[in-house]
Amino acid sequence: MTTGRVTRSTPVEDAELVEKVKAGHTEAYGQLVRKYQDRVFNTCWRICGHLEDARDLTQEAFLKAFEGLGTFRRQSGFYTWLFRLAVNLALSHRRGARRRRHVSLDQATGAAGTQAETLAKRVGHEPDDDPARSASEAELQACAVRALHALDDEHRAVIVLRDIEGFDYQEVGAILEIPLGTVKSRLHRARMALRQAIRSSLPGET
Amino acid sequence: MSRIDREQLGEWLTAYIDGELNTEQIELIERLLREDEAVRRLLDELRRTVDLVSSLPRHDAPGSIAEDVQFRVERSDLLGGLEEAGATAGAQRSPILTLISMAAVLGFVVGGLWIMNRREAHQAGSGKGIVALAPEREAEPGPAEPAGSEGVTDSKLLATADFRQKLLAGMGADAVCSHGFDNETVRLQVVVRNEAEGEATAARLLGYLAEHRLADLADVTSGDDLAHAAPAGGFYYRGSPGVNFPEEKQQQILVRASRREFDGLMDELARSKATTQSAALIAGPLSIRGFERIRTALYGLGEPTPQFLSLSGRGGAPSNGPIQADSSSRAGSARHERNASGGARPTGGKLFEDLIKAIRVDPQMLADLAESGSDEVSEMPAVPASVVTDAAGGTAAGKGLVLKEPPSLVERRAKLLDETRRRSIETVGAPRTAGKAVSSKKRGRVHPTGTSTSPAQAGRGIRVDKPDAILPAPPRDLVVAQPAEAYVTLVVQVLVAEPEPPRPPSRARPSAKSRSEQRDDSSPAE
Repeated sequence: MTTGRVTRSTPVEDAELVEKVKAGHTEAYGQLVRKYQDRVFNTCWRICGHLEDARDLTQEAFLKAFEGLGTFRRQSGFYTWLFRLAVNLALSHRRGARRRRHVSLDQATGAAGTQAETLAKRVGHEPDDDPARSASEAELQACAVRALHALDDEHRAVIVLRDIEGFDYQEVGAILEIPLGTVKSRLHRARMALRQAIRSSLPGET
Repeated sequence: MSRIDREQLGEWLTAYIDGELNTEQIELIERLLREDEAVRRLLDELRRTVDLVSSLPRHDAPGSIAEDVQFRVERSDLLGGLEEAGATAGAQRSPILTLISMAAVLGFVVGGLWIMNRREAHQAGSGKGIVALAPEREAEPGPAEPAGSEGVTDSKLLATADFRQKLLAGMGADAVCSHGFDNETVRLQVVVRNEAEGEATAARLLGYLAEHRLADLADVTSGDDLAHAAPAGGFYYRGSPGVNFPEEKQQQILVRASRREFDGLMDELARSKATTQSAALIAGPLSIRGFERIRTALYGLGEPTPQFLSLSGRGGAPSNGPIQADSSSRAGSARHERNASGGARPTGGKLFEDLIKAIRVDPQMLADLAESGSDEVSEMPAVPASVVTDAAGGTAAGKGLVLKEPPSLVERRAKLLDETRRRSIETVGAPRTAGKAVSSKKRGRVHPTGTSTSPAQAGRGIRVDKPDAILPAPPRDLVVAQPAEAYVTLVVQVLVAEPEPPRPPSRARPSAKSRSEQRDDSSPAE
């Protein structure tokens, strides 16, 4: 895993690739996918909270974008439009689908016996087991993730787009189709809410 | 400082952090920062919050996304706009091209059947395997070289090694889910209503795997160990996240067993301790390109009456609320036991069989969708009892599933297309049946006839509404003899359904917008 924001896009290159795809060179779409898949995936992940769902959402976003290329208007950049699709899908998924939480097989108990318990432990996987990170840092980040997921959809979206994916206010507004003032106010409220939640969880930290 | 001023200040501090203030605003903020310690403290806290959030780890997108998308894009193009919003592109294609496209789709399906049975064919001593998508095959399957060896690649392993060899070689994550992995893969999610039931279900699942006939391959490190530990091809395998499974799919078990062996497993999963605690089995192909949204069956466990739902939507997740049955239930004549309350409860084997039937993709349906340009089917078409027959005239589970195709098979697909173009196109006449092969009509279309075990009795193709859109008969070497006992691989996950959380009471309403929102709302976002 890597940290930090990613580099910005190049709209001219995107426009050229889009035109190629429209002209029938479908392999050009693969270039667009590879270019943005990490960002779209992380956006979906941080909005919906599940890696597996994020994978599906990412794939669906790219496919919807492909399907809609015929109606794509170049006033907004391709990536803005793509992220709008992805964010909407992720928010819809989070709002509309029944929430299902994985049962940790590590916690499976019962009369199955020692063998099953051993197996259950071995099946489980800690998603975040990088030994290089200190325990306090891990705890702080876990706290931040919980706080992020506790935000409502609107505030989570602006935080993900601005603070995690590095879009500027104009881009955030374009993706979420909200005015600039709304971007500012939501972002501020979201950060304040995060700050409060993190402070409540970890006294002495932020 | 009034509340409104404080809020305005907070927004300006936020924008100051992001470099989104104009010169005048920056000067004002910086003067406040010099004069007021509370403002400095607030800025500092906001900055730390931003730094913390922006430093959260990132995940690389799974490598299969680009491949999957590209495949679907190409297939969409090949099928003439199957997945595009408008069907005009498809309608404008020449009949021959449409025909070839449909042949490719059929090839995917039949190719899946071939790959599903290749292992069994190999075991039966067929040596080179019965069929080859590519007429010229490479070396016969042999022991896979250890992962990391020079020259060993996923594509080579997919092409030559059998399932166990691939496991030992530590195949990449996507190989587990592809039918180049020499099996058909179905995702089975057991959805329960509460944590306790989930834990009990998971325990029953793991206990069954550990204590019954299925061997655990996780400890197998050599071919000798494998041969000793895994009887008759039935085993389960947990793999390593990020290696054999995508990293995010850490809570899943790959279970490969014959249908008979799954009977007991499904019984274990179907048991519910109380009639009020319903567990649901949601089963669907791990990936049916373009059709996963419509091929997921929801089966209520522990319900008095077995009920199937035809679901649309990703992953088959039902809408909020209790699991409901509708009138389109296709449970049919499932065998049932009587539970304590006197209600009927399906036995495991029948449950599994019904699930597999429910999610089975009929090749004709693919042709139907290609014509309609629709990517959703609200009603599953009636599938003949034996779309593909086996030697005994019965069916093997999951036939007709269209599975993910690894890149190594994309090339074979192209060869199949070439081969198909060279063959003459036959008009479907009176279907010649073999075994229980049937031909039925639905909405004026003829469903595919059963594919015979004998090359001489190969299926004669599929006829669709338009007389000129006739699929050629599948090439003879794609017709396979079905084993008496087919194997299925389940990727099993246990999930707890949670209700939607209540919305926070203090949601911002349009009338409660801050002054800045009201001021800037008049200007468009872009």
